[in-house]
Amino acid sequence: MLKPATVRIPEKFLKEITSFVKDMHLDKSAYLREILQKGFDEDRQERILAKYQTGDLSVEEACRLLDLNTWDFLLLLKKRNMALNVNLEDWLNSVEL
Amino acid sequence: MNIVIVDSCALILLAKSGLLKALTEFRRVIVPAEVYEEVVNQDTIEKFPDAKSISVMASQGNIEMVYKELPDRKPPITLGKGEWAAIRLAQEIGKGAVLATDDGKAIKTCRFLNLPFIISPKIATELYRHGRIEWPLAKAAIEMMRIEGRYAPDIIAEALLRLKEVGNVKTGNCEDT
Repeated sequence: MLKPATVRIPEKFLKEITSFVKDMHLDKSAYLREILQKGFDEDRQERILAKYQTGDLSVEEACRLLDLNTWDFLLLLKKRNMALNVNLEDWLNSVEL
Repeated sequence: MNIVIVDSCALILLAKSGLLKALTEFRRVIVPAEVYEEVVNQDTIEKFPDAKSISVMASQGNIEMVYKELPDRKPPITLGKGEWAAIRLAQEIGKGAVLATDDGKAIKTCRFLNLPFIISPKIATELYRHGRIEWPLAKAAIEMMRIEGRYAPDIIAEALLRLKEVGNVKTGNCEDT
């Protein structure tokens, strides 16, 4: 079920959207819903990965929030050219076998 | 350290880098059920060939899966259930056990609990130091950890340097590295 939401946006941006949906023969409401969802998904992923990178989230915690398994999480880091949240000190403090 | 308890990220990286078999031949490798189920399931076996190779090693008994109910205890910081199960198991086993992990937050917890830990690039250099793998495999494994494992360049550089140092000792070449 769709529910209404009101948001104020800059006039220039609104004009840009209106002109674009007209040129592309799109439904304005459907288009706004779609880009809102896309933007939210992207931003959510970015924020979760940022929390992972700072060590606020573990791999498993990040995976749960992103609804990914660990294999796909490593692929996502690769796609985004991001590193594991392990630092040089962790290498230095690793024990010997 | 005779027993290596492995969490999900380390299990995947060790399998991808081709080190898991050598590690199981060198030390007792234990994987908590929570970790195993996260890494090896119908979905991952279909998508990732290394998940299948882990399941084969487990079915052959090279990797021990542990389904153990441990006394309920909360982690000092929040963790995933597999990560916490691996840490709890390392705590339970105590002396002689080390946690293999590639997660910064799990490492932070190990430090807090005073538990020994090891990251995957160090496992590569250690296996080479103990003569369990040859130079080309050790080097390729560390390279893989850079590309697929997403290890930061400074850690990879240190690991390669360590590999070279060990190699020099083995060949009797003691010039500065």
